[in-house]
Amino acid sequence: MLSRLTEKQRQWALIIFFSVVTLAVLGYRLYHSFLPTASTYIADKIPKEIYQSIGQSALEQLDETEFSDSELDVTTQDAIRTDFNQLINELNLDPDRFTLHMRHWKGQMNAFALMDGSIVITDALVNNLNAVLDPNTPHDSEQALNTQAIRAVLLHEIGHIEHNHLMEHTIRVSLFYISASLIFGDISVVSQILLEGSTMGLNIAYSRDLEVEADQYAADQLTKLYGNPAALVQALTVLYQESEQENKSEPDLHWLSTHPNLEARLEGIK
Amino acid sequence: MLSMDELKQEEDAIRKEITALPDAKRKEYYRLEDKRIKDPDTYAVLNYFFLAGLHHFYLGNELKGILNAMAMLIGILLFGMFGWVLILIVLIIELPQLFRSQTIVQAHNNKVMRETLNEVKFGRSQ
Repeated sequence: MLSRLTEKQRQWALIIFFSVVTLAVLGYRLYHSFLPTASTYIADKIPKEIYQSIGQSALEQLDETEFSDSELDVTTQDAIRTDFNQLINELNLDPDRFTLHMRHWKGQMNAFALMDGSIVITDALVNNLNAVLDPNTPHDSEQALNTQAIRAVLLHEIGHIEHNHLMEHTIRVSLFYISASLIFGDISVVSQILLEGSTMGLNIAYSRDLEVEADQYAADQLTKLYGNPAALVQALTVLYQESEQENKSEPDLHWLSTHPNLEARLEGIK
Repeated sequence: MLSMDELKQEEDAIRKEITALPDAKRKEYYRLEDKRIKDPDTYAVLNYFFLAGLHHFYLGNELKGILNAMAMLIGILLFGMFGWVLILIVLIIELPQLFRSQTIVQAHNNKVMRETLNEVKFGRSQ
């Protein structure tokens, strides 16, 4: 095919071919090797004060725009908080590093971690997890709290914090944009990064690998505590059942769309 | 390789010969030259592009280009093992060419101009 081209066309065909191949190989290596290594290194060097500041600002912003106070009854809130503190003790984690927040989020079922170690769990998620509580399972009958499933969700979020996923992922995306701007010569994306960074990384979709890693962390800890990760399977199943219903009405707006599918996550836990 | 001044003098000498050509041949020469001479800025930009050998392709040196590109690709793929050494070698060899783009392309263009002039003058194909 190349022999049919003129000399000039042949030269440009080779230039385009090797440009595409080099870009593809470099992009692959950049995203899968260089950026994770560099982002882990940089994230470790960032002072704790920065994590605190970003995490607190994010929660304040969400409180102003999205959240309202939890509508769970005080007894349930206390029970969850007490169990969370107990969980931290059982895992020998630093209690000053993690803070649990309960919020009402317009009926949305969600839980997520922030950079300062804050973990937010919404009323809807607690209620949905409690709703599937097996009456035959021993539990505090007064509160009907699905402790193990709530712990599974919280452990997943603790996994994100322990692996420093949020900061590393934010840095990784930033480095990717900076690399792209260096290669393509467009520094206007730097200002875009600052804008994206101001959203505190909450809008950055956790990559599927990070979700699987957090699942694995939760599964390992649950296995240590209870001998198996069944509570995580139950929590994920509840989340996905609810997400399927929401997807029917709002197929493009669901947070779980950035997560691996249920089968893949359950397979990873096994 | 000749210095830039020497290359410019060489170009001036070729230009004088071109000016001395009959109108029809001169017109034919410029038609061919326009297709064949290369731009030093394009060469530099292609060299800057990860030193992947694209600048060699631009000047028609396919073998050099393929070797350069393969070395870069292997270097990137095996960066953690010995790949970085390959990239370093490519860098040491190729980076100076980025700073000598004007001279390299001028030398290439002089050669092309001379060949094109001979082709027009004597009907000799390259």
